[in-house]
Parts: sequence; structure tokens; C-alpha cells
Amino acid sequence: MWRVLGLLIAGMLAWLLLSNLSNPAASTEVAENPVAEPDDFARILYPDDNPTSAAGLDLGRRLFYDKGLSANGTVSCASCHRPELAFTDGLPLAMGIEGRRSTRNVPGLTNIGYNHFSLFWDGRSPSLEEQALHPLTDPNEMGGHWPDILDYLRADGEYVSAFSVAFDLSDDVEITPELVGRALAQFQRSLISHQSKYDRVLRGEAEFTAQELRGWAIFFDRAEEGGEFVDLPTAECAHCHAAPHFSNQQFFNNGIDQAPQLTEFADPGRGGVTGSVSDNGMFRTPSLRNVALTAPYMHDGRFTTLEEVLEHYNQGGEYAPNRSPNVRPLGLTKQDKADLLVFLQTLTDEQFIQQQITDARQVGYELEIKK
Amino acid sequence: MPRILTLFLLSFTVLFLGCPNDDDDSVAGEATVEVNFRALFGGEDLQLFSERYDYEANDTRLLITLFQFYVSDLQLVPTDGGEPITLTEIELVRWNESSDPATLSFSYPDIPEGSYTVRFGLGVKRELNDKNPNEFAADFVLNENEFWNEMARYVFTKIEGNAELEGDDLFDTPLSYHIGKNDFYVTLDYPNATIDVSAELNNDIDFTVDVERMMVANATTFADFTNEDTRIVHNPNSPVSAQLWANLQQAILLIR
Repeated sequence: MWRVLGLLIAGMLAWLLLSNLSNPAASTEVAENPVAEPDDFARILYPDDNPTSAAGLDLGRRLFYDKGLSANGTVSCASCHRPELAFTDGLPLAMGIEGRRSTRNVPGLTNIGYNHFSLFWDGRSPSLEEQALHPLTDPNEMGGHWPDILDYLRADGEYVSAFSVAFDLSDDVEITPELVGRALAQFQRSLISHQSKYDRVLRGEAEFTAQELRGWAIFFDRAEEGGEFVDLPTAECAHCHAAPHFSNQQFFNNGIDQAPQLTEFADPGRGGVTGSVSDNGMFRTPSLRNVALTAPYMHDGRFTTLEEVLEHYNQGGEYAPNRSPNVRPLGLTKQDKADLLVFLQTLTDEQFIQQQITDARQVGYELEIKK
Repeated sequence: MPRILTLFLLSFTVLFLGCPNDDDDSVAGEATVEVNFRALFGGEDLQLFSERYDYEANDTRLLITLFQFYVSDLQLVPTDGGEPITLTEIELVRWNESSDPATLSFSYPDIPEGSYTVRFGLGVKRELNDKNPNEFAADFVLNENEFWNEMARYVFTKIEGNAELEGDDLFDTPLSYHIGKNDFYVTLDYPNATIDVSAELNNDIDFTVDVERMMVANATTFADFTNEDTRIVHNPNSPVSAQLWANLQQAILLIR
């Protein structure tokens, strides 16, 4: 009896609900994601508790470029993640307030929203929301303290209004570190590059030069399939730098330090997070999108140029028992390396960079040259 | 506001509908099946990165850093001839971190009780192999960066490691086998082992897969690490690929 009655009511209510959905005026409560994603990529995984909205993204951008969040008002996220350098800083090691140095190179943020595993070189952070909070209070980065940061935000009427709209707050005391992280994550998920020459070639909108094509074939080991590339060497790059984001998001020892005993690494990298000595010397594979703009290279910025990086891999790297087996002497010629280099330059997305600079300037960012 | 009210009423109604059965968390006559893959080397639990294994050739030792393979259409086939139950369309069975346990378990709920045999496709079935990663969710198993390219498609299986060849305690000879193509896809069927699924029983289906067996067919036929052409093999058309693929099929055993 109850079931029959319930079914009747359910039918009527379902009809009512569908009627409401077909009414545009009734659908305005759902914020639309303003981030356009290209079909070439698997969709970004948005957390259920932090979908991107226009208000949240704008707030995140403003926070990202605001030096007021740092302890002495001199450093913003963008001081290290500069849009003109594909969100890196051009330095071997990150530099925070008062010139303090971090121990790691600044990773680029291009397409960072597609990274749904862990973040940082050592993978110590599980999400963009969580990761975004680290630099704010790291003494070698922005050096802030949450009570001071929250006071700063709550004292700014524009911030209070922006947080209220983005997260449906009714009082400024509801502004929390968690919401700061969410806004910053929303902004970072909008950093999508898909207009590089490489992308346009894949879409049939451009063509590689003969040299770029050779570099592409060497990068992706196309000699394995025979055909026109059969005489080219294989550089084994794409095992780790897998398309479309040119990172497999995993951790490897790429042979930059000799360590016959795994306890001998100066920086344990992933091992410092997992506690496993077998993971010492391993670091997350960085994306190569916009790589020509993100020098210097490696977790400690030891290689100044891409030529040095290619030479490192061509030599096969230093010995450690956990060195990736795909890092081995490659026997690349000078021409092969030149071809690879021009291919890597096709991963630069000027349209993305210029758009990010334009957006950044609208919130007060000024281009600067660091020495 | 009208929509909120409607949703509230709808929820209330669903509550009514659910009342007669709301003390049942699981449907009678169904159970959860656990499929376990236990990786071995020479019969012992595989330990990535840390364990040094003796290999077939004299004085050679191995350090394994990666072992993985795809499984498609893992199915339970009713012994009474009914329709097969597909537990999963595709699964990546992968050991790639030092902390990975030797046994990887995959859980499948709501399986009807009954007697079955088990079968699965080794590799990525053609229907999925024809699709590009961007056609799947970013966290789907075919978006684990195992896509070679638009011609070669997904890598069905990988073994990576480092070998010590000179007895100097230096594991400085890299090994890397990446194998797979449509022609390799094969169904492994275990018709002689009956699996009784019951809500009252432990419904584990246990496989072992021995990495040494994948590299060693017999005492005279085994992967040769002295030559780079046979220890770095990423070409699915290489005879080494075919040999290791055939070995892998023999290396997977149904224990229960």
C-alpha cells in the first residue's frame, strides 16, 4: 500500500522536477564552470567539494598574485610562479621572502589541473587544494602565519565580498585557510595550455618542419614501428614524459646523482615522504609543456639549458640501483639532439603565456626580471 | 525554491519506498568476490627495488622495479551454462612502488551466489584498445600513461629492472620490456576449477604470476641480458616480445 502510494507521488514529483529543469529561470542556482577544456585531453577531475566557478577562479587569481599574503608583503605565489616563464622563476632554487632559498626548483604550473595524483617534486601533497597552502606559511617561501593572513583578507572589503560570492559566506569569519586553498586550486585548474605547435599539428592545423618531425619521432621512439622512421634512434623520453601532458605523474630516479648505496642521496626526494630507502633519489616526472621557458631544469635546477638535459640523458646518467632502466646511454648524435631540441620547442604555447600575462596584469602583476 | 521543495518531497517519497527493505544492506543471494593477483619471483613474493634475485644465467642477479599487465573482461562463467558475469571490463594489475604488497586485490560486490569458472582476457581487448585515452575519465585505468601512440596503442605488459652481470654488486644493466598489440590479446580460461560464490563463504579467487617464469621459458630458453637488443625491447614485433608474452600466459596460475 505504502509502496503504491509512494510510486504515485514519486511520479508526480519527478514530472514537477523535470518541468523545473526545463525552465531556465529555475536553473540559475548552479554555477557554471567557466574553464573550457579541449577535447584532446581527458577531462579534469574536479573535486566534489570544490567545483570551479567564475567567482572562485577570479578570487584564486587575485590571491595568487597578491604579495600581501606573505609575511612582509614582498612575495606572492607569482613571485616564483611567473606567467611569462610558464609559471616558473628562472632560478635554480626557489627564492622566498628576504631572499631565502628553498631546496628545490620551482615546478611549472602548465596543465597542473590534469595532475590528479600527488604534487611537489616529492609528491608530499595529495591535491591542489592542500598543496596551495604550503608556500603561504613555509618560512623559506612566503613565510606567513594564518592568523595574520586571515586578518589581512578579512580587513579587505573586496576580498570579503569575493569570498562571500565564491563560497556563499555570510560572515567574514567564515574565511578560512581551506577556502584560500580552494580558490587558489580553482585558479590553477584554469591554467590549460593546448595551443602549442605540437597541439596544432595533432589537430591538423599546422605541420612540423622536417627537423621537428625527426625530433618528434626520436622523442616518441617511432623507429619501433618501422616505416619512415626506422633508422632513427629511440630516446625513450615518452616512457615518463607521456603525452598529452608530457608527464606520467610518477616518481623515478633519472640518474642525476651517483648513489651505489641508496642512503647516499643528498636529497632523498620521494623517499623522504614514503620513508622507503628504495624511493630515495626519486622525483616526480615534470611536465614538458612550455619546457623551453622553464629553465633551469631538474629538482635542484642544476642544468641551465635543455642542451645540458639532453646530454645528461644521452650519457645514461649516474649509477644507483634504483635508476630507471629507461635512463641508459642513447647514442644520440649532435643532429639527433638538435632535432629533439626543436621538437621540445614546439611544446611552447605563446597564446597561453600571453593570455596569462594579460590576466595577471589585470590584477596588478608586473613583469620583473630576477637575477 | 520550487525545485528545492520538489527535491525535498521526492526524497521523502523515496524514503517511503525504501522503508520495506531498508534493513537490508545487501541483497539476499549476492556476495562480494575478491580477485587476488600475487606476484612472485621464483616462487617467492615479489619485492620491488629491494630484493636481489638470482637469474637463470650464471652469476646474473636481478632487481625488479616494475611489473604490470592489463586484464580485460574478467568474467565468472556459470557452470550451469548461464550468461557470464563480467566483474570488470578492464583492470591494470601493477606493481611499481617499493611499498606495493605482493598481492594486489580487486573487489567486486553484488555477485549472485552460484558455481562458476573464471576467465579473462590478457591485455587490452580490441574494443578498448581502439579508443584513445582522452575518451576515458582521467582516473580510468587506460589513462595511466600506458598509451604508446595512435599506431601501437596500449602497452599490455611491462617488466623493468636492473641486472648485475659482472658479479660486482652493481645493478647497472637496464632491462625494459614493453609488450602488446592486438594480435597478442588472448583469453585465459580455467574451466576445470569451480568457484562457489556464497554469502557464507570467503569468495577469494587467487592467481599467482611469477615474473621469473615470464622471463624463463625453460633452462635453455630465457631472456638474454647480455645484448642490448634483447634486454631493451619496446617493439611488439620483436621475437623477444612474442616469447615473453607466451611465457606470461604460462606464468599466471589459478590457485583457487
